[in-house]
Amino acid sequence: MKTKKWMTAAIALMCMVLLNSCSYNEMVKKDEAVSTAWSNVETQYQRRADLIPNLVSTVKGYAAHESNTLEAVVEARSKATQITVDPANLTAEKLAEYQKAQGAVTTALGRLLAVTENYPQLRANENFSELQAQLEGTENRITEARKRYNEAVQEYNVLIRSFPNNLFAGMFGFSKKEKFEASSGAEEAPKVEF
Amino acid sequence: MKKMLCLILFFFACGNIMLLQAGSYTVDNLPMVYLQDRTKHVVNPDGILSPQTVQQMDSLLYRLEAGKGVQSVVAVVERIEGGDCYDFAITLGNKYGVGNQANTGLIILLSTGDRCYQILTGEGLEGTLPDAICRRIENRKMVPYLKTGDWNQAMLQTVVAVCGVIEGDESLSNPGLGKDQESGEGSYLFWLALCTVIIAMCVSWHTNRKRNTCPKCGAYPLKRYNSQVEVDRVNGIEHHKEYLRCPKCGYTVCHSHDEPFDNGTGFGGFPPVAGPFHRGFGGGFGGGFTGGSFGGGSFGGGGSGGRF
Repeated sequence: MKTKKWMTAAIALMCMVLLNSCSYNEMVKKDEAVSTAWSNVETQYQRRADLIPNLVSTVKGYAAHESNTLEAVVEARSKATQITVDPANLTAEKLAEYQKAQGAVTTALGRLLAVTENYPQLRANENFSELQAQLEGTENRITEARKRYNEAVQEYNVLIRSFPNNLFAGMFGFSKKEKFEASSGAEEAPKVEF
Repeated sequence: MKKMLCLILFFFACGNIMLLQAGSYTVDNLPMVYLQDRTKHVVNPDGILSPQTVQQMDSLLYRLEAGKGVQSVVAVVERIEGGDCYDFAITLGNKYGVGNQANTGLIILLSTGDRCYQILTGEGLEGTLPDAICRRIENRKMVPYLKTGDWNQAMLQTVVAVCGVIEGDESLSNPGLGKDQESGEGSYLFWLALCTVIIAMCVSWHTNRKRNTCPKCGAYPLKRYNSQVEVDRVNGIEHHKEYLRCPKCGYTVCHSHDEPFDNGTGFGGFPPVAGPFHRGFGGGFGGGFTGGSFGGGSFGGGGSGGRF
């Protein structure tokens, strides 16, 4: 009777080890997927940052006395490009900081584009129109990249937080990751003021 | 109970009528004609475009797919749900996975009622068709016609321009070329041959089994206990006789067949058994066009769109 009990315990332990060894690889895979998705998000934000100097100089040519708006964009951009987040430690604070900085760029850019409405010559410029298209496309790409990042995080979090993986995830250093929040005020489209 | 059923049906009918009146398409109910017929890339459910234009665009886009591996969907509708062309296009593209492994999918959408348009490029096509080029094409070829309500010219000119840009990119090629081109001929012949062989094998197995089954009690196999060959040298025929006995009930069977006289050369003989199978197939194939399938392309938000 005693040996039987011992055997049951051994089998249970073995099952758990087997189960865990399977899901360990799964955790690594999902973790990598999150890293990839994150780097894609950063790439798209970087792409936007790269477009800004070109946009600013084009607008300057037509609307030189909108310097306040232009400077705001340049400043927000330089602040945002300083913040990079390592996908290994995607903590809530870091992500919030990153999101805030990028949100400031979005707001400043929104103001700039709103201001350009007052300059029909600038609107008619093909170069500007195409730059704007690139900017819009990049914003779309950012949205898509963020969506995919959130999906990857969702999958990862579900995996490491479900039983029995949650017992081992902490042991191997897999911790819950943060998602992008839909909007924190700064991300909202700016109001057009006259 | 019956009343209630009537009521439910009535509501259903109302819902359908409303849907028809509104005529607004969702990603799910937009008919993807490409899936039924891979030569058709243009979705024109409201008949906004003329059949001629549709045909012209279809042939251009078919050539584009054959040559450059760019899978495209061009949709022109009255209204879309949500009223935003970008949202609709990207959801559509990612739902069906328009594009092949190289992610070179292309969606051109025009909603005349919502007055919006969108060219959406797959992730692999963003290099060939950057957002700026999309915008340029829209500004030069599409919007001027849209403003006058000439939907046919707007779409046709856009497709021609887009095809021109893509054709000019040397780095793009159809990964399925060769495979895809022959799939109408080569793989079809291969499957036909395979089917023939399998059928022939089944038939020969079946006849063999039937020959060796006792006709009286159904036991299998019969045991061969004697055989004889009579040679008819005058007519050049050998009469083969085979005697079989059922091991269960003892019933005896005699199989006889004739063979041409084997004079030692090894040549001559009856045509192969599978002969008739070489003919008679193929009637059912090749009639209609085959449906296409989307290869799981994804869209990252590239392209350009706007309102007019």
